[in-house]
Amino acid sequence: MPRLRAWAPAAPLLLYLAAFLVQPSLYAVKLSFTDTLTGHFPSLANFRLVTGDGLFWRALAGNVLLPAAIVAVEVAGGLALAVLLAARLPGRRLLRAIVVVPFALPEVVFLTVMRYVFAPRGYANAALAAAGFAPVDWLVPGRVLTFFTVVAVDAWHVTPVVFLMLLAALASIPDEIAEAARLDGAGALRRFAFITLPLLRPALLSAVLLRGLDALRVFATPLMLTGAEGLPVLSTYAYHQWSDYGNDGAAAAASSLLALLSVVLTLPLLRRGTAP
Amino acid sequence: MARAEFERVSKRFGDVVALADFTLAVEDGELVTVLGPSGCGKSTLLRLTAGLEPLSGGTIRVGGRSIERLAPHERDVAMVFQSYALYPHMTVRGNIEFPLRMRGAAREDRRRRAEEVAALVEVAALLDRRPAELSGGQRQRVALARALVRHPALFLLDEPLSNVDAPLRAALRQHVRELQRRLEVTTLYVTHEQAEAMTLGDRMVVLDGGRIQQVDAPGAVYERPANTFVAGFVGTPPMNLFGAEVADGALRVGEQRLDVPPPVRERLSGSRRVVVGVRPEAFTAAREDADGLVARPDPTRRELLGAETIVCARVGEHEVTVRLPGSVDEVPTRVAAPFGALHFFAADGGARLGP
Amino acid sequence: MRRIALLVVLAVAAADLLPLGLVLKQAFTPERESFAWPPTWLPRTLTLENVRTLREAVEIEGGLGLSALVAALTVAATLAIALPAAWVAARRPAVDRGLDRALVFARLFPTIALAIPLAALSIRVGLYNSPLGTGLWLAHTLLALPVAFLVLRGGFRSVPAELEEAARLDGASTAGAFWRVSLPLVRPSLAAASMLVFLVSWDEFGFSLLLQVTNRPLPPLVYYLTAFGHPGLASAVAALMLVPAVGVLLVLEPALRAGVFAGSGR
Repeated sequence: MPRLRAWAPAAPLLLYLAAFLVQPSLYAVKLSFTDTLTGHFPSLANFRLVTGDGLFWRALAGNVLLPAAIVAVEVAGGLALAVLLAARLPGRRLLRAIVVVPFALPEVVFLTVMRYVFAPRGYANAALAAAGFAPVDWLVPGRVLTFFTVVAVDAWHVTPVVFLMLLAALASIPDEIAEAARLDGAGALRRFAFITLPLLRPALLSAVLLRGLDALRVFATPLMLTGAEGLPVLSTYAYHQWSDYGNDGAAAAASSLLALLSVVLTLPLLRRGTAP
Repeated sequence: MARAEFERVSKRFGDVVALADFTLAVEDGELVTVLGPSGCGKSTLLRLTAGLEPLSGGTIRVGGRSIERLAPHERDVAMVFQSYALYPHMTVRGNIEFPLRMRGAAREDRRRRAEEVAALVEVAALLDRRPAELSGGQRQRVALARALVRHPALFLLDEPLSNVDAPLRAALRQHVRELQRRLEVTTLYVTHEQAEAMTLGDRMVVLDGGRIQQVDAPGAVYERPANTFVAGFVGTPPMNLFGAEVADGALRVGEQRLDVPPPVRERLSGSRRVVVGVRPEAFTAAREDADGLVARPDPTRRELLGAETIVCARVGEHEVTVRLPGSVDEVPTRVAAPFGALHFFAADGGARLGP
Repeated sequence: MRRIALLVVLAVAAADLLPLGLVLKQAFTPERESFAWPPTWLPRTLTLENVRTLREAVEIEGGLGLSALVAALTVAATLAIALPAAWVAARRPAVDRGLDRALVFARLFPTIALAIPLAALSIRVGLYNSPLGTGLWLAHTLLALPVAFLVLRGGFRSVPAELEEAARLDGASTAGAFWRVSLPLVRPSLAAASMLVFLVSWDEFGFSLLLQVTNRPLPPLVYYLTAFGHPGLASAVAALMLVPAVGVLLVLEPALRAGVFAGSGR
C-alpha cells in the first residue's frame, strides 16, 4: 500500500501516457489488421497491399539509409565543432552562440528556407553560377544526389544539438588530464585519440542513440524537400497513404512497422537511462 | 513540556536494522544527548520521532500520548536539521513565523511571538534578511528560533552544530544549553561529537549498531563505561584495552603479575581471560618499585601538545597510550596506573564486569 | 593549425546564420524579387507587402490565434501533469526510474505512428479539425511532457528534501509543504519549462499537419504556402513563427537547450 501511494503523484502522467501513447498505438495495430474495404478483422489485407507497393520498399530502405547517414554526418560534425570551439579561439563565445542559431529556427521555417536554397533557381545554384559552375539539380526525385542533399539539410539543422551535447561532455573533462598527457609527451593528435575520445565515449554513444532514434522518424525534411515520393521514408509513406489515398489501414500498417522498429531500438536506451 | 517515552522502538530498512529495541524515558525538561558513530541509528531515532519515517515496531509517547501513528505536524515535535533547512525564499521573519502560520495563529500574535523568540536567540536585528545573507552561526540561531517559536512538547536537534566553524561551536553550545534550561523544553540532541554530548546532556545515550550501549549521566559514562565499545568511544584519546589472564587471585599482563584485591576478585571470579581497560590519563610517572600496572614509554614516540603530552608505551606485548600533564621534556622510563583505575570487561562480548 | 580551425569555424558560422538571414530577407522583399534569377542575396527592395497580404488573408490570423491557443493549452496541460510527477521522481528513485523509462517512449516514439491513429480516433469522436485545436494540444502534451519532466525534476532535485520535512514538522501537510516551500523554489524551472513547452507546441509539424486539415495552425500553413509557391508569404509567416522561438532560446541556457532538445525536437 505505501508503495502504491508513493506513485500517486505520478498517476496523471501514467494515465495520460496510457490514453495518448498506449491506446493510440494499440488502435493503430488494430487498424493495420483491419481490412479497409470490408472492415474484416483480423486481416492481412493492408500488409499485402503495402508489401506489394514498390514505394513501400523504397521507403523502408530510405528509413535505414537516411538515419544511418544522418547520424554519421551529425555526430562527426558535432564532434569536430565541439573540439574546435572548445579550443581558445578568439570570440568563441559568440561563435558558440552563432553555431546553435539553426536549431533555434522551427523545423518548418528552416525547411522552407532550404527549399529556396536548393530550388533549381535557388541560392545554391546562384552561388555555383557566381563561381562559374553549371547549376545542379539538388532535389530531383529518386536521384542519389537528392539523398545527400536531404542529409546535408538535416545536418545543417540538427548538428548544433549534437554539438551542444558533446561540448558539455568535453567541458567536463578536467584540463589536468590533458595537461598530464602533454607532460607525458603526447602530441595533440594522440591526446585526442587516447584521452579525449575515450573519455567522450559515453556522450558519443548517447548522441548516436538519441540522434539515431530521432532520425528514424524523420518526416518533415524529406516531405517538404522532395514530396512524399521523392525520397520516401516510412513516415512519409504512411502520410501518403493517409492523405492521398485515404487508406488509414495501410497508413496504420506502415507506421506501426516504424513504431515497432523504433521500440526495438529504444530498448538498449532503457538500460542506459536518458540523463543527458 | 512533556515527558517522552520510547518503548522498544525499532526500525528496519529491508534487511538492515537501523534501530533495535530502543527504550528510554526522557524526563520533562531534561536534555538527553545521543552519541554514536555515523550509521549508529541516531538520526533514524530523530526521524522516527518526528514522523518522517514510519516505525517498524514499538511505541513513542509524548506527554502520555502515543504519537507514532500521527502525521508529523500533529505530533507537537520540533526539529532542528543538520543543514538547518531554512526556507530560502522567505525572510528570517517568514521562517520563524511559518510554524505559527501553519497553525493559523493571528497575524499580531505571530509577529509578537516571532520577535520574542528572535530576541531570545539574538537574531532580532536580522528579521528582514534572507537565509542566504546570514552567516553559519546566524542561520543556526534562526533554525533554533523557528523550532522553538511554537513551544513544542519535544525538541529534536540533529547535529545542529556540525556545520558551524570550530571557534563558534563552543559559544553556540553554551547558548543552546542556556536556552534549553530557560525554556525547560524536553530535548533529544543527536551528535557524533563526544564533547557536545558530554557537556550538554543531563544524561547521554551511547548508540552503536542501532542498539543502546549505555544510558547514564555523562560523568558516569566516562567513569564506568558499560562495555568495551563505550570505553573505546568515549574519552580522548580512547581508553586502552588489552587482554589479560586471571589466575590464582592475580592478574597476568605480559610478565606483570598484579595481586587482585578481594572485592575485585569477586567481580572477576569465573573469568580466566578478561579485557583490561585503562585510561591514558590514569598513568603517572613512577619509580622502579611503584605499585599497579606498569608501562614502559618509548621516548622517541612523543607528541607535545602544550598542556599535555601523549606518549606511546608498552605493557608486555601491548601498546598503550599515556597522557601526561604539561610539556614533558624528559619522558620517564616507567609510568604506572593504580589498580583501582583499571576497568574490567568480559573477554566474550565486552560487557563491564562489576560496578 | 589554428588558422585553419578559425577559417572552418567562421565558414560554419556563416552557414549557420544564412538560413535566418534568408527568411528575413524573403519576408521583407516583394515576391517578384524572390522569384528572380539570379536570386538576390541582399534585398533590393524592402517592403511590408507580404505582411499586408498576410493581414488580409483571414486564414493566417486564424492560424496565429490557433497556434498560440494550442501552445498555451499545451503548457497548462503539460505542467499540470508533469509537476507532481517530476516532484515525486525527484524524491523517490524507484518512481523516477519507472517514469524515466516510460518517458523515453513518449520522447522517441514516431510521431506519424501516433498521429494516424489519433487522427482516425478524433474523426470518430468529432475532434478532427477542432476549431480550438483540442485534439492537437492533447497530442502536443505528449511531446512536451518529457521536456517539462526533465526540467522540473532538475528543479525539484535542487530543493533539499529536508526543507519539505521541516515544513511538515512546522505544521504543513505533504501538499502544503509542496505548495508553500517546494513550488516557490522551483519557479525558475517552472518558467523555463513553460517556455520550452510553448515552443514544442508552437514549432510542431507532424501532428499539426494530420490533425488539423482545416483550421490550420502556423506550421502546416507555412508548409502549404511553400508548396504552393508563395516564397514571400511563406517567409513572412515563418518570420512570424520565429518571434517566440528566438526569444525563448535567447533567454535559456545553452546547456539546458542541449539536454532538453536532444531527441525531442519533432
